[in-house]
Amino acid sequence: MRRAAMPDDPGRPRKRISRLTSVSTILGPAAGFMDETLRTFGLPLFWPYDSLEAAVEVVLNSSNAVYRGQNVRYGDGKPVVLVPGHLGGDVTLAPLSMWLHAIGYRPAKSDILININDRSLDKPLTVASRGAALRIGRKTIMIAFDTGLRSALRVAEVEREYVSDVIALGLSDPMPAVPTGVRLHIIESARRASVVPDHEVNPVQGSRALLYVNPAAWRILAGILREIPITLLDRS
Amino acid sequence: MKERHKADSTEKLQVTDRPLAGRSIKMRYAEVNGIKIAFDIRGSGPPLVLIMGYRLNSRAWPLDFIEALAERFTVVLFDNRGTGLSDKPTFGYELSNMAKDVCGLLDHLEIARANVLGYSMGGAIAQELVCRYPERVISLVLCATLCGGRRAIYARPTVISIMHDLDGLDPADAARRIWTVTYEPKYLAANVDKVERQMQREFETPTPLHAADLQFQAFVDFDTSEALSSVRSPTLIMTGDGDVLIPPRNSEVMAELIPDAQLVMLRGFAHRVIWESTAQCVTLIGNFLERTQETANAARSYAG
Repeated sequence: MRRAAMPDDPGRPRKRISRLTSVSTILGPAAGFMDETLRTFGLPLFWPYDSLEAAVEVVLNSSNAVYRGQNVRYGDGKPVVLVPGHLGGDVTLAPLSMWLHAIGYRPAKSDILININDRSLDKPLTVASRGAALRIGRKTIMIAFDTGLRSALRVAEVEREYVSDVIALGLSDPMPAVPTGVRLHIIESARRASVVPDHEVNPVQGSRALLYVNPAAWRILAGILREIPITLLDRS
Repeated sequence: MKERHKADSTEKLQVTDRPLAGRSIKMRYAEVNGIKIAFDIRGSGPPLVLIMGYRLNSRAWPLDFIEALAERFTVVLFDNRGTGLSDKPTFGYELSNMAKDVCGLLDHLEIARANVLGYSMGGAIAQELVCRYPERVISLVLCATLCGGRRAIYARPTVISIMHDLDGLDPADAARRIWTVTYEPKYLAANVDKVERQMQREFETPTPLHAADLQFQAFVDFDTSEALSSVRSPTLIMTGDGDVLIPPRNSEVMAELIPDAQLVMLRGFAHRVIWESTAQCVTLIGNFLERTQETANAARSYAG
C-alpha cells in the first residue's frame, strides 16, 4: 500500500479507496454482528497486536495540542450530532463531544447506549438531529463513525430539512449510496482500504479503531466543519 | 485636508422611526459592503464613529454618553452587521470585513476622516480599521479591548463559559448571567434597576444566535498584534481594572505595541466601564480627542 502524506500537510493528496466484497453476502444475515465486528476491528488473531498498537498510539498522542483546542480553527456554533460506530455509544464519543463544544460547536446527545445494529439508530438520530436543528435554528451536521454512517445517511436523506452535511470518520463497509442532496465528507485511516466510490477521502495516520480520538482526524474535522456554510432553517 | 460631511443626503437615505427613552430616533440605512447598515447621526463638530461590541447594537450605548459626546462631536452610531436594524447575513463577520463595513459607511456619509471609538469587540474592529485604512482615522479610542494573537490574555474558561454557553436560557436570564462578568459586582448590586432598563433597551432588537456565534468566532480569530506598531493615529486606550472578561493587562500590551499610545486604567470598574463611569469616560474621551485635534491644527498651521 502506498504511504499516505501526513494529514497536517495542506497539500496532501486525496485518496480513493476501492470496493471490497461484502463478507455478509457470503455468510448470510445471521452472521451480521460477527461480520460487522470483523470488518470494523479485523480478525481476532490480530486483536492483541492491535490493542498494543492502539495503547502506544494513545500514549504518543496524549499530549497533542489539538486536544487543548490549539492549532484548530474555532467553530461557529453549528449543531452537530455524533453517531457512534460499531459497539460504540454516547460514552465512547464523549471526549470528541466535549472537544467540539470547547472549540465552539454545539454537539447534541443522540442517546445511543451502544450501536449493535445500525438500523436501531435511525429513530434516536432522527430525534437528535431534528431537535438540535430546531433548538439552534440551523441545519445539523452529523458526524458518523463506521457502521453509524449507514444510519446517518438514511436519516440525512429523510431529514433533509434539518440535516445539511454528513461527515464520516471511518467508512462503513459496504459503503451505502450517498443520497442526492446530502453532502458527505470523509476522513479515514490511511492504512485502511474500504469502499468509497466517487468520493474524496481525507486520510490520516493511525489505526481506524482509534479515529474517534485521533488528533489528526479531529484537526481535519474542525477544518471541514468550519468550511461548511451555516444553513438557517426555513421558518416561514 | 478638508473634512467632507454630508449627513442628510436624503436621496440615499431611508428613515425609520424607533423610540429611544421617550424620544424618537431616526435610523437611516446605507448599502455598504453588500449589506444594509443602519446608522444614526447626532450632534455637530468633528466626526466621531462609535463601534459597539460583541452581540450589542447601537441602542446599547448609554444615552447620557451619546448626548454628552454629541455636544462636542458629530457622533455616528451604527449597528454592526448581524445586530440591531442592520442586515444579519450568515457570512462576512471577519473583523477585517466588519472594518470594511465601517469604511463603507464613512464613504456613504462622505466623511474622509473620523475619530473612531471602539468598545470591546468594537475596539478590535477599530484596530482592523486603523491598520487597513490608516488614512481614514484621525484619532483612535480603544476601550476594554485586546489585540488578539499570542500576546492576548483571554478570560478564564469559567468566564467565557458564562458569556457563551447560553443555550436553553431565555434572553433575560442569559443577559442576567452575562451581567455577572461584565458589570462590577458592587455597581451591579447598587444599580440593578438601571441595568435592567439597559437590558430592556438592548432587547428591543435582539441579535440572532448565528450572528452572535459568527461575531464570537471572528473575535477569537482576530489578531492585530503584529500590525499595531504601524499605527500612527493618536491613540487612547482605556479599561477598567476590574475587567474579568478582557483582562486589563491586554490594554497594557496594546499600549506597548501602539507608538505613543496613552493608557488610562479606571480603578474600580469592570468590562462595562462606559456604563459604570459614563461622565468620567466622556471627559477622558472628549479631552483626548480635542487635544489631539488642537495638536494637529497647531502642526498644520506651523507647517503652513
